[in-house]
Amino acid sequence: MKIDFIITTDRSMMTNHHGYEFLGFMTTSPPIGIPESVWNWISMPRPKVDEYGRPVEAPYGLRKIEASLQDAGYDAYVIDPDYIDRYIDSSKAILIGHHDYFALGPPSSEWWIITGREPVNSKSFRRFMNSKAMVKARENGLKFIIGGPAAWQWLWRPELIDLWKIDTIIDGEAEKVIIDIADRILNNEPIPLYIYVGVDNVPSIDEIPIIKHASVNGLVEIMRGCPRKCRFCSVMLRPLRYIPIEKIIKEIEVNLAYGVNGAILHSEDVFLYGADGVIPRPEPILKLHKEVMERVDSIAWSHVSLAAIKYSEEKYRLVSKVMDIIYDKQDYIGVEVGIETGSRKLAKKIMPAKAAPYNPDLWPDIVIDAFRIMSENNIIPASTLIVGLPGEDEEDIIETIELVERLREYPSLIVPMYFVPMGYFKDRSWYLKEKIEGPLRELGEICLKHDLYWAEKILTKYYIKTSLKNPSSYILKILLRLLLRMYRTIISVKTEAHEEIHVYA
Amino acid sequence: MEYGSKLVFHVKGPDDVCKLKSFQIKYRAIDIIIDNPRFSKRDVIEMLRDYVLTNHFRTIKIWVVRGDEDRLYNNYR
Repeated sequence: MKIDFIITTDRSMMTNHHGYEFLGFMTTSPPIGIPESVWNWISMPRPKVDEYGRPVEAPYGLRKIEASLQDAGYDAYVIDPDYIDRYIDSSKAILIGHHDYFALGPPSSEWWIITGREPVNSKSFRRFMNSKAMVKARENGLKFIIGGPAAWQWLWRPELIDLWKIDTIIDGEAEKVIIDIADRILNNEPIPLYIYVGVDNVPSIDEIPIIKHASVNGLVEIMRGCPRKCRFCSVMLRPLRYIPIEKIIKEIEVNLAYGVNGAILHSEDVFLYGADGVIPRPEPILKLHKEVMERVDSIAWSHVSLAAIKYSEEKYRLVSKVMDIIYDKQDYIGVEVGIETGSRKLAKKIMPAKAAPYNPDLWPDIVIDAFRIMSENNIIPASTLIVGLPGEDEEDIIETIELVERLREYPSLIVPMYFVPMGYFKDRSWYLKEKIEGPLRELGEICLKHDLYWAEKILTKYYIKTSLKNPSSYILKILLRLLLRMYRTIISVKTEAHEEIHVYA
Repeated sequence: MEYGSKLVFHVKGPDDVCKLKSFQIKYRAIDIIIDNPRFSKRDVIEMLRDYVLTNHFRTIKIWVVRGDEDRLYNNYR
């Protein structure tokens, strides 16, 4: 097979996590309590590949670049990292994408701070870049093009650009600009060291290609951009586009053709699909779910916003109606949500539209109402908090602690993420110097207790359903249950010791 | 230099980056040409990092051309 452009990434990305997308989060941490090899087996198993080393499922972003280049007539394929050595002698370039090259993004950076140890995703990426195949590719003079949502991280690791002979870093939606780069490489013309893709170069709906091969766990995007414009979020920089249902269905059919029978609808806010600004509209959401559920065995959402959940249910009973469609085939749905803070002051300052159409002064109550609605509808949220934001004081953290305590009764996971000013990266050992003390420590402990309380119930009741079709599900269930029990024992012992010290101090 | 609504700006050192920052946001895209052979890629990124991180509304390309600028801009002439 002739390949001019190898599209690939390291093992922590080129995996389907045994079909359980949420296990992918384990790649953002160092191994805890078990050997790294076992941790990696759980979180990043090798995918099935065809005779050419092409993975049956690959990360969606890589699939989009593959589709763009193939539509433009180039010989470009996603290749599993274990098979790229077959093509090094005949290819012109290696295109690499990643969510978190150097574990600088959330939640990797947070695990690094807490444990003082490097997460497995960045270790895996370094192994890949130092592999024999990549060394040979550098010796052969292949071009190296870097992209994906973590492309920005190379700005903070510039020494590696020289060391690993990186030619171009593309920061932003690359479907259009990659064509010019490919053309220049084939014509032996200069290519830029760095591209930031501005609004003039992002693809329109018509220019976003349909994937040609299956994506990991059936992920398909239903929209790009977000109208809420939170100040901490890079998605706000992208123009808002809703992918037409026909196009979404075509991608689902591609996945089905490769035996991937589930769909993960990717959006910054599924309940804003086809919305009027931040006001959800029932018709597009119901139509989308009906069309999708007619075709797939299971569905998941990437993200929803809490305000949209509350508004949709209270105004239209839309959450219940959508879940009625989903209940035909499954008894729950998992999703990521952003709580970010329990502080009204910070909510107004950094994410004034996150509560819209409600007043940001009501933020903690919006969170509670949305969690209650999700709980009543068997929606299991994995939620994030951001701590350490500029302007945050002790009072803000205490308000967040109070909010987390009010959420105790709802099945969910709550993970605090540490806001890391980028300037810290000038000093590589910043994560070792960070001290988590006082209310921040208390918040971390409360979240950990909340998560350990709910994790086993969520895992056994909903998430991992053992099946002979997926034999590893039995081993995974036992391993994860043991791990959670071990963590719970350790945490209760440590917390008791911590409390005793306070009593006798 | 301007090519249509594109600004093409030469950077020989940090002083030029200060000048670049003073340009108004009127260009659709900016091409930054690094034509100082003493700079490594690391030097280039460190010199321009703050600029690219704070100008997220248009396409920015950084070229390290080592004297073959003509080959870059044939398309625009």
